[in-house]
Amino acid sequence: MKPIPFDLGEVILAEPGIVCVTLLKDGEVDEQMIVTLIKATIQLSAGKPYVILLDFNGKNVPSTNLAKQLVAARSEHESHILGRAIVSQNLQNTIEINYFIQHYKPSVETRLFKNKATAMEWLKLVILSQKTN
Amino acid sequence: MNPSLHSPTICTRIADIRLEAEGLVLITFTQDAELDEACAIEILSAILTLTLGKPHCLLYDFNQKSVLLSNIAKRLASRRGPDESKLMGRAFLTYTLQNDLEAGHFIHHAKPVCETQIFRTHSAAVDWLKTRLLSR
Repeated sequence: MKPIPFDLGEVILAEPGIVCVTLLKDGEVDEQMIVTLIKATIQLSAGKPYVILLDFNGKNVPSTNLAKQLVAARSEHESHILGRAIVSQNLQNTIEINYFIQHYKPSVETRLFKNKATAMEWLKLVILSQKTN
Repeated sequence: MNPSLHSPTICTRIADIRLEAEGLVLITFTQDAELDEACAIEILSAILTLTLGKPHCLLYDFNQKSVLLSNIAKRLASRRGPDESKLMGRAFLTYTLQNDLEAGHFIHHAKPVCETQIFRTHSAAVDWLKTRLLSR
């Protein structure tokens, strides 16, 4: 399946059940962009359970309060998201993500990683544990 | 001639979204359905396309349809308010007890950031929404 571009990057189905959002530019994520991203993840997952890998890819990408609220509102039960891994390579993004996890309390289990490989490993475990349940 | 017939309209799977007047978006449900996350995002995307980041109000017309609002749809909608979304007011136009219960549940349990009311007539809803737009 082709990557779906958005203003700051692209969304692809990296592997079955793994939707990968990669940021390619610096910028702010607002309501419009988060709606585009959610739309893309829904399209790529085709109604099946999936996990999300968000790779900041070294870019500086803060998000608005509303964007964080919309992401945090998504649930495993209704959005079919099993887990969310966020890869951050710099301090600014790490602070922002920790703030998101601690204050917005996303319904979907969300973890922060320093590199893509360990994030992918965890996401595969999440998929596996869902299959065995 | 009805000018609203020529207003920009986006048709989604379960609703037509039309910019009825400047700052006033009409969402008319076109079939019985459950408004799940995908439908909610489609409608939200259409609203953002039509309003172009300007202050606006939303009028949801149940249009005699049986529409169930999922929890995720309620949560996504309830977060939108005057500050970041420039959403000044939201009105539900209901016709049946079920519509009333759905809209009432949204107001009382999802606690929308933006002021939201239920109406029985289109004109009363539009009048109230116009006051909301003027209040900005």
